[in-house]
Amino acid sequence: MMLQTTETMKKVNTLAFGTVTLLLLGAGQVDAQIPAGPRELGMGGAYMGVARGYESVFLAPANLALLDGPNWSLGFPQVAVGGSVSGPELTDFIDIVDYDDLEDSRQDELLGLFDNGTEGSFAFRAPLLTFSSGSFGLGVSYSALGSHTLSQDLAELFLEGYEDGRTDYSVGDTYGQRATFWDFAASYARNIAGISVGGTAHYIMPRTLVRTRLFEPQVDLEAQDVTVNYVGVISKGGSGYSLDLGAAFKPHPSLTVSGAVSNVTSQINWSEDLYVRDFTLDRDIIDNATPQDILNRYEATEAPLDPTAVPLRVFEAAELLYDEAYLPAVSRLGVAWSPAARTHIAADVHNKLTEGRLAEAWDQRISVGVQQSLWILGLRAGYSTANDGGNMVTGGFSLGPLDVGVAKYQQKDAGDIATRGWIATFGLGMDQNF
Amino acid sequence: MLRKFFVLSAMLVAAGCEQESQSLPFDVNATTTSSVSTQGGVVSSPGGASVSFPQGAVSGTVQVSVAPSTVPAAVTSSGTVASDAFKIEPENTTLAKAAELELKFSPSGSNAWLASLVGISSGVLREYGATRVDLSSGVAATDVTRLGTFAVVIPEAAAVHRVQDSTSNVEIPLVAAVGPGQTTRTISVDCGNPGDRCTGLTLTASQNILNQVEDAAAVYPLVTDQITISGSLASGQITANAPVRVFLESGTTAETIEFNAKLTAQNDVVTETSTQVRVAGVLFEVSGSADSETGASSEIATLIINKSSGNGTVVIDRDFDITVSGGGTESANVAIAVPVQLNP
Repeated sequence: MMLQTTETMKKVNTLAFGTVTLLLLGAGQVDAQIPAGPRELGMGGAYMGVARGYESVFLAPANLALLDGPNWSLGFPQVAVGGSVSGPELTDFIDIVDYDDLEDSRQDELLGLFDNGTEGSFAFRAPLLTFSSGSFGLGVSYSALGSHTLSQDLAELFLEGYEDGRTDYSVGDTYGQRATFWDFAASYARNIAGISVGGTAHYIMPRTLVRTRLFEPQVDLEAQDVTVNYVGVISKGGSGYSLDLGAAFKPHPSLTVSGAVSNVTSQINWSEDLYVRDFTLDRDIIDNATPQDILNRYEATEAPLDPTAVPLRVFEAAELLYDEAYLPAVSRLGVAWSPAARTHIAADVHNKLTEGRLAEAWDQRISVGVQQSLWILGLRAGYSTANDGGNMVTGGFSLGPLDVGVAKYQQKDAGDIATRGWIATFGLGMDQNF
Repeated sequence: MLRKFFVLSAMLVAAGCEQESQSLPFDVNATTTSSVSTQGGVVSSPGGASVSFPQGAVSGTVQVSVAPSTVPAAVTSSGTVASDAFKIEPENTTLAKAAELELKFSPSGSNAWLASLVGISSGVLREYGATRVDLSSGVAATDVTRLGTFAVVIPEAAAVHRVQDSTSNVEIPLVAAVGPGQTTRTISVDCGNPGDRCTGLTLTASQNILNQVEDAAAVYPLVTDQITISGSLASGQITANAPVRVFLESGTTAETIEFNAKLTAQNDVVTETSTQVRVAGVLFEVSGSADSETGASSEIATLIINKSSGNGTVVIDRDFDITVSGGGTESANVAIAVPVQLNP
């Protein structure tokens, strides 16, 4: 009976692990790299000189006043989703789903991938509606960024289940964070003596800022019980703004140079009305509850955070809630050469000027990309590299108003542990010249 | 051109002022006050203290306050102070059920796992060897039944008795001995408080416990009282509270195996030789938590105090079950050997 329960638990735990990790995959390091639009992603993010019309609103506001832009343009929902995880590769996760059926050697190999723990991150960015008319532009976008670490022992717990009598489980280095916000943007640009200058004002409407932490297990040797606390602290709402400024010009009809500094000035004030979720998993829950059941119970514990009446773990979990939870200033400079009307070759340099975790994770990146259109079909390819060794290979296509972009992301840290991820974007866009 | 562009960008951003991280809306220096009813409740200070009252801990409604405080001088007699102090009032309130008190501390050094809460109420110092420690979050927690001013200390060396191998036979130094031809009149012990630690106390544990921990130690053991012998009959009692701190193999947390014992003689017969004092029919009551029946045992046995080699010791042990690797349950054991004074 005990054996049966243990085996069942292994499967459930594996399922839980798969759910968590796939959630992480489907949804940071990638967070910043994630371009808002599929065309931009397809060209490796080298799009400063190429963007025209609605594409300029969130990227290169000065381009709105370039003379070769459309009279009006409209971008329907553009959805970009990216995720990355350090350590295991995608094929490893496929095996993890069937962990119980694997040979011992492969199980050991998979466990070994988590020797230094792992971190998964996700990003979701959706400029839901973007519009430009002449030198004016408007847009509304929704962003979600998140990441979660997974300690080596927690990975082992998920994969192997709880092993009786062991007191060496250490899961205290397991953290998560998530931020979601709306961005309402308005842009204007003007051509002055052949140089287009412009800006985008953003009204930021913060939705949720979350910080979670798993605490070390409490082991009661006598009661033969183990309890673990998972605590989340949540800020809901707030307000904010930011301003982007840019300039662009065309030194030659086939050449566009565009630069911008996003968040020249910005301020995000997250709500100080906090909420807390504090869930204690005991041996019975660990052994018998399903992952969905655990999630439901965790969410059901949500209550307003009263700092005069909480356990210390709540303060510990909240410690880095607001840490750098704002938009960094990023300078971007790009050049695009269009040897033919339907051919664009572009390069961008992006440089993060200030701290802030709600955008670029790469401090510096250089991107190159090419776009070739043929009737209603457009093809793109690009490559992007960061100063810390990360790189991204991208591609994409357009078919009429439908745009699709994909990218494979990779980065190695100082310990030679690779972080890998994918980004996928799609959207609908149209523009018109009169 | 690139350089100029980025310099210009940086100047623009500098002019715009970089945002700084928001501060948490917690006032770490504030005194917090909350009503605690018979239903229980939690009162906390963001500065690093929290006390959780279970249902029935207080009668009626009590206004409980938690405030940062200066560390009372007496606390330093217990060891090295490793946290801020917090005053929890109404001071000296006695709780019907123990409340869990958590304090934030600096978990540095190899002895951080021995961190213990120490409290003072109405001038009386109490050392809580039964403290639970989480090194990764720097939190020490214990159960308290009296409110007062508390801090976390790393106990002085004399208050920590590291576990010996269960088969070891450590010689306990002579405390006092009844001389040749003399008869023992009292068996007494009074050790554990600052300045009078239980020198010579030894702790042993069964191997299955040692297999699950990196280290173990009796922290702030307190052994008191005496058995008086009148004629050939003994009466009185010896009580011992010897929390056993176990540093789990994770290296991040330390838990406590509680150890409370009361040895009661009620006109029991004493026989004494040149090597032993034997008191027949002593009631041995041994338990875990002092206020519960958890793991409690009670038996009548002969108390044997060895006098050989000039030593006088009382050995008390406690048996309980633990889960071992592979899922089975085994009986485990911890024992303390306490030097006692034999007075003519």
